[in-house]
Amino acid sequence: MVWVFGNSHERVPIKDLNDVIYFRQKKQYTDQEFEKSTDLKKALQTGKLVQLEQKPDIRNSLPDNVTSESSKTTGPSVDIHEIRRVVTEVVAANKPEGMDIKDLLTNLIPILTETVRQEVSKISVQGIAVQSGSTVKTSTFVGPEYVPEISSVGMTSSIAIEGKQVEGSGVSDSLNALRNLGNKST
Amino acid sequence: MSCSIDIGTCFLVSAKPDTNNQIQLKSIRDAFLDMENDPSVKNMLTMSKINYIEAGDKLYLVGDSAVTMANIFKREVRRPLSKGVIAPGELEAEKILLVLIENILGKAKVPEEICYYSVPGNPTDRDMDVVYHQAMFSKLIGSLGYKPIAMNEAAAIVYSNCAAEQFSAISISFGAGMMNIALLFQTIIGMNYSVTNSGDWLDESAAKATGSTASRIQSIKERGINLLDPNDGDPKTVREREALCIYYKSLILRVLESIKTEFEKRRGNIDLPHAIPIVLSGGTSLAKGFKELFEAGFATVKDKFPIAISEIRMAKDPLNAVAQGLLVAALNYNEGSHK
Repeated sequence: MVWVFGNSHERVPIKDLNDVIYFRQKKQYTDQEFEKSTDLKKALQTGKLVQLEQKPDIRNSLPDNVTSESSKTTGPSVDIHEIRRVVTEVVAANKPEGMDIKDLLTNLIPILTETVRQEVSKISVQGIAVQSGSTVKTSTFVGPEYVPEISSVGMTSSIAIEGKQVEGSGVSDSLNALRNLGNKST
Repeated sequence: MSCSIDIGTCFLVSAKPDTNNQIQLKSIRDAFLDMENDPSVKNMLTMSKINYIEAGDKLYLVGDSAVTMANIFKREVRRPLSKGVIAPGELEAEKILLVLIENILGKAKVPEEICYYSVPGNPTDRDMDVVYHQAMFSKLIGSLGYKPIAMNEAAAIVYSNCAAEQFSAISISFGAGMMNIALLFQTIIGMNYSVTNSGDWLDESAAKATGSTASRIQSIKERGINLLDPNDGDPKTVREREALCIYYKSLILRVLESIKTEFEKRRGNIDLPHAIPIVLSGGTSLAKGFKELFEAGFATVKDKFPIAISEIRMAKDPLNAVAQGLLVAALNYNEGSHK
């Protein structure tokens, strides 16, 4: 997760994320968005944006094989494979000479339990990631929102707009009704 | 003195009271196209009475001319607003908007002349708010000498169309960039929000479905479409019209569903004593048969609809209803209701 801060009086368009950052606006992006956006990185390099902080993003630090389909995240195949790999490593590293495999496994139960607990906790995190679905983005303005001075100096226009006149009785009727309503309520 | 301006994704519309109980309306399409500033091009534009803005080495064609020329040269027209708010990528947008606003509104005749301007509701389906948009337009209109006051776009429709119901109604503005929805009871706003994807979405979706372009679909739509009979019209474009009809239905059902959802969220806070009308407005609602299609859509959800509806009707002047409603509010403000 990356927090950036608008450091330019001009709006900073982040076209590849279809976004824009205003002056004094604090905005959050996920690690994935940050990695893929060249506009964001370019704006940071030129000083138009300032990077405030970067924290590991739990949702986006998940293994690549996690998908957005909940059925796949709860499927056990990936995790069992991981458990098997860890168990094999642990057995190979801890098996004393002449020890029965059954005794060894009994001794290893606390380690296995811990390994399984860690894998299960990963599955829970994956569940959270799936539930959140789309990227949750937050932004705030630091201080009042800043609007740059806009001037049409240097621009000359050749614009002819023909207006049309419409009967004003509708507006008058509405205005009278509004006044009556105001009188009733006071 | 008071005036108003409706700031839409597709059109800017201003309203001012005129002499003899008349209202002066001015509008311009909210679009521009940039070209190199060449003296011969400029001369040609002036002779052809095409609206343009000159800025240094660039010429900006504006309004309907920009769309026409974009179609001729197969270029995409640029728009200062996108999905109801200032377009993120258009950095020249504010300056163009200032010139356009100045042309349709003029400068304030007296210091601090009241000018009501429209703002959309916060979208329920998009991660954005309208804070910057509102602040930007306040500054632009203020720079012309006005005292700018923001008002919700859909609420303005109730001000111009629901005097008989004492300003109690659900109003829906079907614009180009978004649909704005408001529920008012005697001018008090019970809920207001917007849903992105409206007229432009129709064009883009129908274009994708038929392998056409959004601007071509827009052109077919604006030439006239009968939503109850897509065969009514040029046989060469019947497929495009059929696609448009399908997406119109989807749009209507989506907005009805959103009203149900948003009302349910506020159910504890809104208790309407009697049935209220639904008023339909905006350029996207101008298609022939729109009201009938909306009524048919409403019939499918009527039993589960949480608000008692007295009738469904079109606004009297769907393209100018917002500007006129804003003007009502501005005139009322001027007469001392703000004190």
